[in-house]
Amino acid sequence: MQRQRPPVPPPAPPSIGIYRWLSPALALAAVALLPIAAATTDLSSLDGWGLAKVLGPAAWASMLCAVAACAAELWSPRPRIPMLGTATATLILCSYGLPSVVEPAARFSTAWLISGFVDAMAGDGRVVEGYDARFYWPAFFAQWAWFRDAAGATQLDEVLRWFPPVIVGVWAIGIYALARSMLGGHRAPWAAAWLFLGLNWIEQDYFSPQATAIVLMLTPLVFALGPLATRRTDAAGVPGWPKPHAEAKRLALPRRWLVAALTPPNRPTLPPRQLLLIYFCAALCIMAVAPEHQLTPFAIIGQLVVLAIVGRFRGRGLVLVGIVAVVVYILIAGRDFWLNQLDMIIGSGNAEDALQAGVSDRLAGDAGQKFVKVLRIAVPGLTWLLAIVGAWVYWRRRRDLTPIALAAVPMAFAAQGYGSEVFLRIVLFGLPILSILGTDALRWMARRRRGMEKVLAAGMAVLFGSLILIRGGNESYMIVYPEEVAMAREVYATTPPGLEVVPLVSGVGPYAVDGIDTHSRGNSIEGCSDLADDPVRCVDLQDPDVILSFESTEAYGRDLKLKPPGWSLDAVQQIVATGEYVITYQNGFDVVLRKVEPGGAP
Amino acid sequence: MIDPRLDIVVWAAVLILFLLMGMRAWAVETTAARHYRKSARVRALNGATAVALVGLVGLMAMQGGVLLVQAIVTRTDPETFVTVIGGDNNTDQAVADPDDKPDQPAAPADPNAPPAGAPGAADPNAPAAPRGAAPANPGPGGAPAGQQPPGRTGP
Repeated sequence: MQRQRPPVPPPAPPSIGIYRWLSPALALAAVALLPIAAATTDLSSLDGWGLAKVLGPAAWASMLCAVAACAAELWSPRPRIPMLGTATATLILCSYGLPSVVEPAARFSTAWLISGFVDAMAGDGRVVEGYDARFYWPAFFAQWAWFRDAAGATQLDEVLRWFPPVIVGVWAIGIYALARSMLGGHRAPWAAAWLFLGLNWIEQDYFSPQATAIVLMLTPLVFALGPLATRRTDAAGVPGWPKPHAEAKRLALPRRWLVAALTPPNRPTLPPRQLLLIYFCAALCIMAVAPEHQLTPFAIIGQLVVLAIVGRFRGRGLVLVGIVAVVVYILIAGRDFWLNQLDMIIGSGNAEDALQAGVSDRLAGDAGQKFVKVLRIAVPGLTWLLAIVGAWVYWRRRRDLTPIALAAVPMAFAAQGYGSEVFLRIVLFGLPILSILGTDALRWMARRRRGMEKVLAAGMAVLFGSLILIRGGNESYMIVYPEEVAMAREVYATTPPGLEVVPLVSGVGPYAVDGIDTHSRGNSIEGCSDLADDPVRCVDLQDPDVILSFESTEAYGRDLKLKPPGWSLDAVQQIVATGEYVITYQNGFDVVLRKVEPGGAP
Repeated sequence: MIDPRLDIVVWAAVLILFLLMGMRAWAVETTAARHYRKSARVRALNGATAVALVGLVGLMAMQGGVLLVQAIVTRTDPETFVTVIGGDNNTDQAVADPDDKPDQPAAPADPNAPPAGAPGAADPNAPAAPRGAAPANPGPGGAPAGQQPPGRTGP
């Protein structure tokens, strides 16, 4: 009789020891330090070095604790997905959310301008024609106007303030999902999400259409590279390109293209209902992005076209859906846009001008400003270098060069000559794939030398420190105070509709938080893009009824234009000296000037 | 010449095309045959989708597509040769510069505008008031009472 061996018990899971508590404790410490960071940050000392210089030790310690929480959980023998998610959320709060924590209101003048757009659409749901080209893509404004009306709110100030960390959290989920498909493994996708966060200095996460459009772009990309990902199998045995084996005979290129075009991609191993649901969701996102933002649809369509050509995803009809949605939207819904502003579609076509405006012209300001801007140029360069190494690693493992092509697709925007911000968009749209390729390179290094893990953890701390420095570099003139918002709102509330309210300098301060559809902004006058360019002459030509100046106006001239301290008050004095304006409100550098009534009648 | 009243036809054509594409996707993915291209319903839907696409392209060409392509190719301002007739106006117009309308009634007077030579204008060279202090001259356009700002060293 044969004795039956007792079944071998499965090996006990490795004990995680101190790692059970280390990451939660560090994450808690990071969050607990935030109120201290807010209390010890001296915003009145902001200068050309921005936020990094005025943050107290508690803020930096908070950021370091968040980085340590992420690294500790990743080092754990059994990383826990909920804990990694919590640590990532903490990291976002302690880096992207730091301005929201230490500043009393949402930063960034453009966020307040878009809040003004939402305000103009709230109630009647009508866009304002002839004010700003962004109104031709009004989905975001309409969406938030609807939310605002449905909630019975009268303003979105707190939404503006906390929007960046929340939307970046959603982006990070997209990067994690993409990286899971492209890299596999349990740890690498989290590292990819953190690398994306650390490299994303491009401040497009404020309350804006493009922030939402990135979500709508990432979703179809996640589907295409995830559940819809497939490969084309050539039944005829025709090798694809690049040839997989050295001895394989290569056929003529046109024949390979023809065979590829006629060979449908394989069907993914998903039930038809799931596939159809994914098609529907992806199509919905692609259609939704058309009225949301002017550039993002082209980025996602370009990337899907690349994937369709190389046969990497099932559902090529999504490309047609995207093209039809964008073309019909621009042609029909955006008719006034192309009738009046065709130049914006055609673009200047001058990449050299865009390069000058987007790079060299921005290297202005004091030492702090220049240093931060050099870093802004260096970081994308280093990102691309790391991604190219990652593309090589990816190629060695999977014989696939498609990812680097996906990252390069947004570069086509440079040919269109979109303007000085085109390079920001190129970097932003390519960054998800670049981060994932970069993570592949880092993983390769860590596998070659285990000691590299500690170096990479230290590098992560440095990266997030530099992120705070780079993102907050313009903080002295991007910061907005609640009393400035109150001042601007009060001006619009007390100035009759139809009159002209103009800031001393456009682009800084919450000058357009209200009055988009009720008050005039004046005309464009040559040589007077801002009243501050030549205060007396420009005010005489523009003849505004009310002039606004903010503390950020002063900081903008002082730190970026190298004007002497107090220059904005000097400009105000010059305007007052003409006898046509008087100051009706002043609190430090926050000033309201009103045109005096002719004849002295009360 | 573009008649915006016909835009509804274009939108309807887009809807039909997307519906047909959805039906085709359903037919392709649920067909048991390995080679779905041989399926009769897939072939029928392929044809219908192609017809819908051609119809949509034709409608788009009629509703400004040709004019847009012409404007882009010749780099001509479309306003010089495109005529839009009728159409609904569902937008608000941006407020024009009141100084641009000399022949029209004057813009409303600002009731908060001080009279010329009004005394009490704040001295712009006065030292900056500390944050949270009362405005130098609140005036009618100043921050409303009870909305004095908090300190700037924290939220």
